[in-house]
Amino acid sequence: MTTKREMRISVARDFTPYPGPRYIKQGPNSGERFRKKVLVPALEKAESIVVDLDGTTGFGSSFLDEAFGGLISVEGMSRAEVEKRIRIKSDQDATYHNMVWEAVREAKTLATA
Amino acid sequence: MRRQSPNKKAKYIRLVAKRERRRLRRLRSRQARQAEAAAQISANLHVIAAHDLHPPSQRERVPIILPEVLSLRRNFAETVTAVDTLRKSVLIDGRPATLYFDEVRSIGPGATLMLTGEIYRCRYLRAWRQGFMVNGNYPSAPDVFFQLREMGFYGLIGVDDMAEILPDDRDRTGRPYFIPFRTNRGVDGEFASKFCDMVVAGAFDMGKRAKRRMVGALKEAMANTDEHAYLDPTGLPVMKRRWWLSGYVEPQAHEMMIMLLDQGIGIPASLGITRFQRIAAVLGLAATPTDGNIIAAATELHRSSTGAPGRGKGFRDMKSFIDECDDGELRVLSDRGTFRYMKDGQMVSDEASSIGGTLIEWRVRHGETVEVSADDDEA
Repeated sequence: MTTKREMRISVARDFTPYPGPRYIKQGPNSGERFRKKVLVPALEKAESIVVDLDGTTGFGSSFLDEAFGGLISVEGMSRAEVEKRIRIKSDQDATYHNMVWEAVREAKTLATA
Repeated sequence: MRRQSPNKKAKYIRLVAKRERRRLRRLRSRQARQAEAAAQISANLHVIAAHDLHPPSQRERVPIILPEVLSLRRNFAETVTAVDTLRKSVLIDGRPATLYFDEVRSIGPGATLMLTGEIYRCRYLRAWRQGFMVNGNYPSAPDVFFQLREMGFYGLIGVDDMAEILPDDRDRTGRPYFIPFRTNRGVDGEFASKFCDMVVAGAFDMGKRAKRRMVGALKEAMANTDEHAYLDPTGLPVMKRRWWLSGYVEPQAHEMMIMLLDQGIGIPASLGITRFQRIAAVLGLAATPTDGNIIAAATELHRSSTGAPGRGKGFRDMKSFIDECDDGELRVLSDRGTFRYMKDGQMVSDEASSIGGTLIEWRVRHGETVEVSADDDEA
């Protein structure tokens, strides 16, 4: 299977302009669903991805926590791999950029969870 | 005719005696129940007579006379007692109740939402053969009447809101108004966004970044209800994961308030004393585990600093939003504790009685367009 070098994902365009809660069981458009349906497939297709967080109506920290921290704690990726393969674009609110990397930093790996 | 043996005859006599004893026991029990009901009805009628009110349409109904000031801010004890009486009558004793609004002269938004949530729970968890488990009459004060109608209250107690025959002709620009209450479970991002739009529209303009923060904080508060509020039994029947949401707008003051209620175990119980002490130690907070102090610690929760998994930063976002505005307050009432955050400080206190869940009141006032800074949450 051939992989692209870089792929761009927009949460607002490719998932929803109305991000929801942390888990699928809590409601529509959850961080867990975004990770499973959008992030992980994109990481399988491309070497690196740019995730555009602009254009939504606002994120709760738990959405970002589950979507990006879950790559480590649920999908089993290493922190270094996530940091190497994912770039975050959040021009409208830099806080989200910080929240994503904080979630990645604080996520417990599968081995230690 | 066949003759019965003496043994069979004795056995038959014992059986008849036993049946008679059982019949008498049932009769005494029924008489006791009737006497208790009669005493209750008599007590109810005395209460109604003492307040010079009309008796309820069904005499079994427990009359609950709401206080003149129905407010958690100005009349906490009487307000909580009234809601507690409703809760106990319907949910524990299984007796229907009538709410008397005759004496109510003013209502607070938080107290109204609390009463609304309680009626909703009583209505959906307890059935009564002759109609709604909770009914009530109309308030005699016009402002209270219209405020309750704005909130969508009358449908809950099964009375007509009289919208067609009694239109609200008061000038809306100059007076506060309620946003109709909503109830649901879980988190719906689209609903949260539209609700924030509705509340803010009458109060002030808001920049896009500020709006995103507001919506994010509301979603986190809903998610906290979903994840933590109903973890353990409360001693009363509950509608698991459910929250009630309402808004209050004061256009002239450029002020709005969002209120979120749940009927769960409360923040002090869900956080627990052990985790509170760990958080208090890390954050350097007061270490006495009162309900107020535990709520204060919960509003400071930050996963990286406390190791508390699964907690969002909704409270932190609400507080930082207040810091960016002219004025505001985050008031969290949970179990017996109260926590208040304002720009110039915070306060905690404990009341004698519990509100039976958690109520978040997030009030913001701002004269111009609200915009929040981008880097106020730097890690």
